[in-house]
Amino acid sequence: MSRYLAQRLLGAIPTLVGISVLTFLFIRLLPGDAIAARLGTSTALSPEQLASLRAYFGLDQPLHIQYWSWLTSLFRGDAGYSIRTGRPVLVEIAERLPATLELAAAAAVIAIAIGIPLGLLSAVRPRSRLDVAARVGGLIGLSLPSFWLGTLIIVLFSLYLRWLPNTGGYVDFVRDPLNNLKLLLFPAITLGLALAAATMRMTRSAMLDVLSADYVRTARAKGLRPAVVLRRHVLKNGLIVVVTLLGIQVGQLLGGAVVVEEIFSVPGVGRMLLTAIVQRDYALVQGGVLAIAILFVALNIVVDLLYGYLDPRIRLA
Amino acid sequence: MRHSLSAAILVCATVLAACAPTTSSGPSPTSNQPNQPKKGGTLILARTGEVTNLDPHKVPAFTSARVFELVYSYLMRLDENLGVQPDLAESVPTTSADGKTVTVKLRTGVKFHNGDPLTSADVKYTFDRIIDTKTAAVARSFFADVDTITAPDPATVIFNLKNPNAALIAYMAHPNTGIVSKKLGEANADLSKKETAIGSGPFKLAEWVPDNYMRFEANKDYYVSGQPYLDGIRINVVPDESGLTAALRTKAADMAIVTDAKVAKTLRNESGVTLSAKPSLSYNLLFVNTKRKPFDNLKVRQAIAYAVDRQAIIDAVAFGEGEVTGPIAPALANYALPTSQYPLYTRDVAKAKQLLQEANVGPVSFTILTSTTEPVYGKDIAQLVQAQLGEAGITIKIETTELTQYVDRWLKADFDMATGLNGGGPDPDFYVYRYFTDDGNLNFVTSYKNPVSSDAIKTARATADPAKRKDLYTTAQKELVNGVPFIWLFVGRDYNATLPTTKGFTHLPNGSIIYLRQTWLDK
Repeated sequence: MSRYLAQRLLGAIPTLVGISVLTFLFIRLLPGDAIAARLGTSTALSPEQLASLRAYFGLDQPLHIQYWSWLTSLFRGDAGYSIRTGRPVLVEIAERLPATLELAAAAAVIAIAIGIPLGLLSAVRPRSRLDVAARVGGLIGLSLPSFWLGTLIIVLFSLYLRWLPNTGGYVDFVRDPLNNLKLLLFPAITLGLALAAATMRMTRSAMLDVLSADYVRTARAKGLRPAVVLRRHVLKNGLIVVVTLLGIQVGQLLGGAVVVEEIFSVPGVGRMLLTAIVQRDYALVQGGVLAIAILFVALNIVVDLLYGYLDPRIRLA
Repeated sequence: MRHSLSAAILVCATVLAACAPTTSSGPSPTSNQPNQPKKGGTLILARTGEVTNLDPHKVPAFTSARVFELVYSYLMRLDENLGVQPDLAESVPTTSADGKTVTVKLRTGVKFHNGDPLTSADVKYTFDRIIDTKTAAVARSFFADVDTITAPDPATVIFNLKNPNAALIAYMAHPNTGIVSKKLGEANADLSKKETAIGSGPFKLAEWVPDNYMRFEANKDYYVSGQPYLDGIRINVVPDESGLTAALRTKAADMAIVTDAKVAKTLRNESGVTLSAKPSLSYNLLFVNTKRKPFDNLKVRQAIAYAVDRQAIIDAVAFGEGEVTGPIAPALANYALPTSQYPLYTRDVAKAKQLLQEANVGPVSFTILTSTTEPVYGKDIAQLVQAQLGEAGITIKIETTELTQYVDRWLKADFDMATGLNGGGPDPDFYVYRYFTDDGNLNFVTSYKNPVSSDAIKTARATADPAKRKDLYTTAQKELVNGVPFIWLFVGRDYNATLPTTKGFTHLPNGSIIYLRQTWLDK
């Protein structure tokens, strides 16, 4: 088990290096740099002044030197400095990460709370009214892009019904739990609904597979009560597929959070990344993407470890 | 499983119900309030933009400038009528007979937020920093005439000029000239961190959570006695302009800075909200790159000017809320020529076609560069111009990029024509010197060369007599409109929305919130 973990962690390093190199290059491929973003059109500087500003931020160095100095900043423990706030990137990310993690977790809870029960009910009573409704609902949920759903929720609930106006002023959970949950509700629904639909569909098809398996028929033939059959035989076996899907999807939630955080003004890593990209705050973009990539990799490893727990036949070695 | 499902639904329904507002609309504004300022309370200001950086001299963004005005103090300030008044300066600075020495007497006993005294050494350090090319300061070009600065005693600062400069004192009120501490400036490589945002302004920056809010606390040692009345200010970043309406409606904000004319229109009809609209100092324009063909031909530029319908643009993009402008914004009533005096401002498509024929450059087609955010309606302007010029047989392509990309292209003058929203100031010099004199630092943008307007603008800068200055600016404006390096379009309105409980605020047309220092909450 620990050997497996060590292998997986080592294997993750090339992935993370690859991601960091790509991020490093892509953000620099965008026309315009941090200096242009900061100065706007109100201050025009002579070419010499622009050059001295670029030199100040190290933007005049060859790419490999810039990458190396960023890499060393990772080992130094600050991941470079944000051009916008002048603070270490690591501090920026550490401050923003809780909001993103909370949002992703809330979305996952919504997805699981809606998706798994509905999928199970659908599978137990296939072609019933509930099944049809759940499947149609699932299709709609999957088809709604989060930017559209988010905007719709704001228009309907915030502007029209005037519930929870989208007025910014995010507060973190520790400071004001009730307000924090209120502010998080719509973003979490927006982010979680598509995942709920996917979870529902996956649960349904996985359960249908298991329900027609021989051992389930045997269990029923033994005279076990349907609830026991479901809990002990169907659910545990069917959930393996669902857990895999959830693992990957929760990772993707972190990416989806970029859009949702921007729409609902949640000051998480996603929103930070978007602002950083617009302002060409290179170190912040690189650090932010790397942080999300690390989380994604970690989640995948956790999912793999969960397999072993759910299905003893799978040996992690 | 059914139980857990219904439980989940129940929880969701309960939370949703708990989130519903208890009142749907606020109470009507109370009248007969005593006008005696009440002390205390935290004012919540909602706006959409965020600070890009905290160095008071290096960042031109409007959004950052608003924060500088709270934290730092300035030698001069603008009053309601755009008059320039002493602020940190004890009185209006005196200028020597030859115009080359400007002496500023400072208030005494002023302290920085960290308790250090503010003296002439800090003022000298501030302006030396602004002038130093290495700083790359926003306001540097305004003080290019300054040769040396001396501080003969703790309360006196003397600016020794290479040439007389009549606009200099007005530039001392520019938001990018906040007085910084010499000690702090010398100890830090730059002043962009929250920890180095220490000025002597009415409010101290207590907390900055980027993309979320900024919290300010009152400066108890502020030099205007009794002010600020508020205990503090919280600036909330709202995701979009419609959120401002919601914030005011639900009293989640006491004041909102509005930039979208459509939102302003909604707020005007909102009971319990006061909307102040002032003709803006900023102006919308099209930059014309006179270095590129066919814009190197004056007749082509004039043809385009004739084919543009400015009022139609105002009606479409600003919902009629704006005025047609020439090179100097109408708010500077003493200097701005009425646009009726410009023949090119009367739309005449036939004349445009005739000029194109005389220019003999073949079919005219070019690209307009616009950015997605500055201004947000840049693309709409481009589309209207595309349709209007189409009537004169001109073909236009529109290229929209995000702002940084746009700025990058603009800095390289890599465009045919570009939409823009330029800031303005209380002195006409601000509008014309940088772009249209031979030594102006922005003259590369359009590459326009005209010795007549250039000389008039330069002489006006060195002229103290207002009547003579007016004549010179009249000459310059006529020359510029006829030469078409810009197509000046319109000035919109600067909006500020408040609840009736927010009192004492003076709205300046440059969007400044400096007068939050005299604002109080009647709650």
